[in-house]
Amino acid sequence: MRQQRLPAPAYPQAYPWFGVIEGDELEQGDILESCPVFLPPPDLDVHAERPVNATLQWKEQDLIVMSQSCDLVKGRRGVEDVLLCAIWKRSEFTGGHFLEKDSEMENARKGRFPAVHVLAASTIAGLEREVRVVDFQRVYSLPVGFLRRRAGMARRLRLLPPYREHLSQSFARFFMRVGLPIDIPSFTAKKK
Amino acid sequence: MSTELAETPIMGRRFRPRWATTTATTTQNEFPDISVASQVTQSLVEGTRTYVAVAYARQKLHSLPPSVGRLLLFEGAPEQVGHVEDAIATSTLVPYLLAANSAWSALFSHSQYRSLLPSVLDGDEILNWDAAIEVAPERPSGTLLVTFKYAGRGRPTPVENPWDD
Repeated sequence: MRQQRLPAPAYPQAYPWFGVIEGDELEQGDILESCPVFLPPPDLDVHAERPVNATLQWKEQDLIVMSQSCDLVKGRRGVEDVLLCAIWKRSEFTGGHFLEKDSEMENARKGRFPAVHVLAASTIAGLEREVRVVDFQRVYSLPVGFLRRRAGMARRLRLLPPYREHLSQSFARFFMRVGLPIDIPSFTAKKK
Repeated sequence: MSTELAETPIMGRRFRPRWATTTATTTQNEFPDISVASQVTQSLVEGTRTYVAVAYARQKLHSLPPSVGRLLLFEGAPEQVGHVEDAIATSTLVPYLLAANSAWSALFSHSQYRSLLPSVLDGDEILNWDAAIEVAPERPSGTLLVTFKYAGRGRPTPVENPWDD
């Protein structure tokens, strides 16, 4: 009997991109949506001698945890502040933004833009999300206690291995980049 | 057929839309109109067939924008493959994939396909370090009136000595 060929699933069940998490456990790859981040004004001046009143701006931001999971284990001494990167929905890139174009998103998907990292869409029931882009140039830190409380408020997505490590590696590659002040001349450029 | 070819970042010019399909299983399906490739294959010793990828370039631009990357797949023998095996093994860009006197030269001597020959690549063209989300999408925001109180100097986090066990 001829075996029927089925199309390969877009995301094989054996290696799902996301899991669903409830509670205040935090790990690298956890996504916190609409989380406030706080932006001190550039001219903020504080003094040790007296309290200072100031207006602080905050904004809602979708964030992904970049701190290592081992530093976020509850009950163990780890980090006091959690490192996070902004993530954007693909549909948020509008008005001529370069990532509005399929061709540029394809470049991003292939890792040709080291400042960004593409996350797959989520098809998890109740947590369906479109393709999103991690922005390595918008990095925040929030106190771990504050973030745990936010995390415990709702079910959320967690990026699973190996996609989590892939993200971490991309971030490391971007962070450790080195620009040389004087580069070695090209061997293939036309000689004058 | 090695499907890693699909991820080999080789640049090229758009020739026909369906040539962008890089996970095909036979070269015949992909390139029915390249008869020279078939002739090369026929001259091979049985059992030594291998598949190779040949990068081709957008001649007009000289540089190679990644978005136009395409693969050409051929059958060939290892001795004809030359640099191409390296290109596949390392998944990196190789500017010149064709051995000067290989059987492939015959194909690319045709004027119709001469423009497919790869051109010089520069590493900067592979990764765009400057591409960034400069203008962030709008998000809800607000202001807080806060009072900053001095909490003393920050102290280093006590770290347990891992050798104490």
